Amino acid sequence: MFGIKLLLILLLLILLTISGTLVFIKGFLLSRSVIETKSQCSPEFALRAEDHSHHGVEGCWMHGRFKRAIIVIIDALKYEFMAFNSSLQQNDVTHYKNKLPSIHQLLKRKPLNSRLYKFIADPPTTTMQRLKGLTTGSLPTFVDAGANFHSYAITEDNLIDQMLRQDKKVKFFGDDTWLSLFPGKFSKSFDFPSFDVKDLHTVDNGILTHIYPEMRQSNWDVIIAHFLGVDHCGHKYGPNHSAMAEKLTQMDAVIRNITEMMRDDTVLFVMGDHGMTKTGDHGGDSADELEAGLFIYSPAQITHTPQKEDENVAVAQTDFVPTLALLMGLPIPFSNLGMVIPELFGHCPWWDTGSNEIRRVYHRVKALRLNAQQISTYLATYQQIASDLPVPQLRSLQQQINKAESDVQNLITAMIKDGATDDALHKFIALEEAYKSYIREARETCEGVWAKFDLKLIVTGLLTVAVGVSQSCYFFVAWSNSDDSFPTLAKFLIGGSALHLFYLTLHMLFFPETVPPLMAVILALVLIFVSVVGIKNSPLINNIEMRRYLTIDNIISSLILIMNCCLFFSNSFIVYENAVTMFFMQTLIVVVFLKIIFKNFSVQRKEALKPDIGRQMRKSKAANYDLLHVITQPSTAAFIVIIICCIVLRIASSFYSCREEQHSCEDSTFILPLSSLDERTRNQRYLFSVFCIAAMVTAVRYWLKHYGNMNGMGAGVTAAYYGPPLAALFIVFHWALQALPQSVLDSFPRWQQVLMAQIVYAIIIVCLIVILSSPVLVYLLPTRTDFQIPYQAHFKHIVPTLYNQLKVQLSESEGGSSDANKAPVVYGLGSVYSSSVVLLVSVVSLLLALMLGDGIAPSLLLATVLLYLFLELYSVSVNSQELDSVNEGPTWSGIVMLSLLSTIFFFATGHQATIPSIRFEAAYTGFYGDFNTLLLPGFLIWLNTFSGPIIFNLAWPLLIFWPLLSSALMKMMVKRTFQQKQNEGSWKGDFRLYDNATLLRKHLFRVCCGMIGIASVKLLAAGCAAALHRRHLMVWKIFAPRFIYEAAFFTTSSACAILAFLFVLRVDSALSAFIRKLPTKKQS
Amino acid sequence: GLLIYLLIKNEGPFSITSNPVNGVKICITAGCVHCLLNFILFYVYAPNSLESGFRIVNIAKCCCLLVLACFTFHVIAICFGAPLIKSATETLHFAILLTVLVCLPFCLFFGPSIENWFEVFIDKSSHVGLETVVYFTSLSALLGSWLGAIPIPLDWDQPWQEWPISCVVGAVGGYSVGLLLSAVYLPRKYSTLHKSKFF
Ligand SMILES: [Zn+2]
Ligand SMILES: [Zn+2]
Repeated sequence: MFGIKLLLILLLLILLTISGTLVFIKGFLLSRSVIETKSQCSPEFALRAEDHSHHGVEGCWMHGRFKRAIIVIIDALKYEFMAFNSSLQQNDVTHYKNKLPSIHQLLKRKPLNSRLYKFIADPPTTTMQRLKGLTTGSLPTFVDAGANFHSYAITEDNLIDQMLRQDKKVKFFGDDTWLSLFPGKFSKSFDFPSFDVKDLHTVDNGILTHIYPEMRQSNWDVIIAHFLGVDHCGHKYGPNHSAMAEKLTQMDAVIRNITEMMRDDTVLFVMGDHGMTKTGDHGGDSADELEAGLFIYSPAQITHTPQKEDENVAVAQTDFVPTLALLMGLPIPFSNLGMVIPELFGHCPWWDTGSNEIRRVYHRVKALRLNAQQISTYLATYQQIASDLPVPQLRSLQQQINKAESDVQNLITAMIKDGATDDALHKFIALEEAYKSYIREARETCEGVWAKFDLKLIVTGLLTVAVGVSQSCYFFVAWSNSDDSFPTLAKFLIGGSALHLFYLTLHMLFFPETVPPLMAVILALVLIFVSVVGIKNSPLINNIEMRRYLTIDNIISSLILIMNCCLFFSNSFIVYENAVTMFFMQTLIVVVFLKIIFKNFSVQRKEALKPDIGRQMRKSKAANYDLLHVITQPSTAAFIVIIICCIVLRIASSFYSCREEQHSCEDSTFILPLSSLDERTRNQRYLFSVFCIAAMVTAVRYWLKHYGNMNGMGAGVTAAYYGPPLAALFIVFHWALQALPQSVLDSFPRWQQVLMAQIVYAIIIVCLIVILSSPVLVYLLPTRTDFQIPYQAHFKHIVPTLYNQLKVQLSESEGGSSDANKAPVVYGLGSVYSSSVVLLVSVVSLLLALMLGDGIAPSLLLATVLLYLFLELYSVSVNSQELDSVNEGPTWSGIVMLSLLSTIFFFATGHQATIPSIRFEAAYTGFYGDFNTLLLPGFLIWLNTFSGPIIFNLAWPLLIFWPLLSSALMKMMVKRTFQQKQNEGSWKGDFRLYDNATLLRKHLFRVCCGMIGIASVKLLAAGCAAALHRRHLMVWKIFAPRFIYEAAFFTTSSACAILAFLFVLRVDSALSAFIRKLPTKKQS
Repeated sequence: GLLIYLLIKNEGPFSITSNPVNGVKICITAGCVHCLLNFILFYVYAPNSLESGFRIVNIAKCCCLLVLACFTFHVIAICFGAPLIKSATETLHFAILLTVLVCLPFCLFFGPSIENWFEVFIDKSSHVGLETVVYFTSLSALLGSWLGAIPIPLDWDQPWQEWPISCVVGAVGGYSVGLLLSAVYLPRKYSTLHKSKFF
């Protein structure tokens, strides 16, 4: 019962943190559903007959004014760079002003052929997000839900796709980001790496060598050139530097050359994708970064109203999409939210708009109307699949457009009847305004939902997570040493958090649109305050006992945990997190080592201080310096174990994969699929993987045998005996099958391709069920007359595991007079808890090995070895404290190290905290083709992604049990006196904890609390970092994914922790059932 | 002796930025010279305070230990994340530097006995004097090189962010800070000791 209560508290803590995370995500992660519908060439709302009758020019929604277009994107081209300030002198000091005179000259000489706009970007002002906005016309969000996570390719309707659908040929030059967005879409492409920000010229010169010859050919309709030099120059030197002047002059020449080569059917757009700050950076939402420039030019007339000097009109970057689409006679991309630039549609060469005001306005209204209809269709479709747009606003928007539509129809019929009148002109002007305001409002509605961080929700979410953290701290620190009753404070905290959770859930479920949950914030603050006070006033803190806790390793591991949390606030540390966590872990291992050595030494000194022997020893040591003596020293053993541990950890780093931002990093060869390697390396790697998995299985088997848990024919023992080797065998077969070339593989029927993996699944599931139903791996010697047998020679390796204590206990219960020979003998009772946990972990790790595939699976062997060594070291460091390790329970440093290890093995199983690095192929291990639900593939991918954390988080109960085993390796590392302390009384192993059920549960609870606490602290830090950097250049690439991973990590580790908790409780109850059976057997 | 400690503080950090290996070499020689100087100084002024005199066996053992320590430092540096092959010479030099800063003083002052080393670390209070100095310097040199690793992953693109420059600077800096600390600490300790002796 006590165990269940503790479990409920743990669940409450986890739920608190998870709900906080969800609230945070709702406020922070801007998301939007992607609709992959493409706009059709002939929609129902086009007034076809009427529209094309005058022109005879082809086009979809509208006649195409231009057949060809040249789009020149000069990265980070600010409006300020383009606008000409005639008041400045020629040799003025600023390096970025008036450096593009050709634009000014064109505006002056041909005012009807050119326009210059302020081109306002939507934050975040990063190139990739901007390119998405510039081609789809939609607003940037973090998760374009439904998008293909595997690559950055755009699946939404966009300009490039529409061009291809109308058989336009697109040539591309420049930044290779485009190719990842539009793979395989360009008829010809000259792409150059955009990565090196310090390199000003490679991309630009590369473009320039190709663009002019290609332009002279006639096999293109659209040319896109993306220059990076200006942006890189800004990053490197800032805008005000002579290099910027050179760069801009070069760009000026580009514009001049292109405009001179253009023909009448071509339109040119020169634009910046974003601006730059005074220091030359971008990414945020300051005016400097948002104000890019847009210059439009064509040798043919494009507008009717010349631009006035000093007039700067601002258009949004999304406006480019419908404008270009309609100018070229393309359909407007389906999810566009931009508005056509009206001035460009006032002039129509085929309809004599020059003399007729009403025709000009009417022409503009036509474009605006098409645009508005497109947006209205989009919103209606969006509302069907997602519900995040506010319904009342949508309804009023619908009314607006309906009214405008009927007005248009009436007006046209009236015009046909009465001809063009002044009244009609006014009505058209009013209509133009109506459409404009409709488009503007629609955009604002969407912006409010998709592009605004909800700070109140963010704060509430973070505070809720903080409540979870403070509660786990409280339960870990302040409540640990009191007895099994709950103090009032604890009750208050539990009640308070339950209330908080309840309120939060209610509010989020039923009033999502109303005021932010102020109540929740207040409650959270109160709870945090109270638990901090509780921790401060707890008996433990004020007691001298606290000083026992402040051991060097606990302090250092706390420091490292804090540093680990600070890491989330720096993008470069997140990028190199794999290396940094390993660094931390190595540090902790070395600290533990130093601690062991010091303890050993101080014991030695104590011995030495004993009068006579000590003096002799000292003398002899000073006199002869014996090599053998050094080697047999326990410190040396510890040293060797530590070095092995460090080296294994370092080898694990060869499984790291690279993230995009890590320069000079090469992916480990283990990540490649086996079939892609050449024959020799393939065989080598395959054999290596087979060897590793065999070693893993054998090691666990040997361990279980050593502790006598592999005797008899019980169900659990049988499963442990046959299950893992069989599973391993079939995993190996499965890998062999996967290594075949694809053509051979395809010749098999489908079921044969996945048969092996499915057998493995079956074996593992059966094993797990058996383990759960009979989790106790002990063996009761059947007849009492055989009692002496274990002491004979051929049972030698079982002898240390024999359990004698039961005999005493039972005989005492019978009055202490019974015959000792009658006591039952049980094998493997001394490691009853740990063996079950070890078996569980090993079976699960086989499943994970299957998921990871043959390349990465060897890393699981490393994980197993490391877990073993770590537990040994940990036991030594626990046992070398001069305290009773049973009552003391697990140490803080051990918990921190375990959680660090799980982070390290997240990376060491070939993962990185980025969205594209999720290994989607894992969903197809053992399954073929399509799934009906997303649940199963999701689960498999989850297993693959978090395989490292799963192993280490399932293994945490071993922190409690392992030190009680006092293994041989451990004895080698500890000074003799400790051994004596251990061996006083007979060896009981972790069965000691069976005698004290409350203590066992309390230890379990504390470790579990610690694990959850650490995970939630990290989650809190990651959340704070993401919220703090929400306008950072790297937020969508680094901080937000890191936060998401941390949230997933928290969910994983807490779920595993709870599972392990339940499992140990299950073992405990099975064990007590087993013990209860014993006396009855005896009496019969 | 204190003057030398303060003087040495300026020696290290100046020379390493452009050419890492050479810089580290200079640091190593500086450290060696400094240690030897101290050693000779102490040998001249207070020969009794040293446990054992010059014996060839001892010197050989010391050398063995130093090589072993150097190897260990190398392995540890690689374990902590230094590249395995790419900059092996740099790593080796870093290891030698650490050996010189951490282990050489021990060898010189306390001979090759590991027990003596531990004694220094654990019973810091029992002897005041050389032990304290060595204790401070070696500990802070290690700490300094640990801290020196922190700026390496940052994206400032500074030349000194290459491995192992910042760590070397950290080690030398830590060593100097250790010297400074002991220079501050020793007189106070002495005065309290003398006071207590007075009573
Ligand atoms: Zn850009
Ligand atoms: Zn940039």
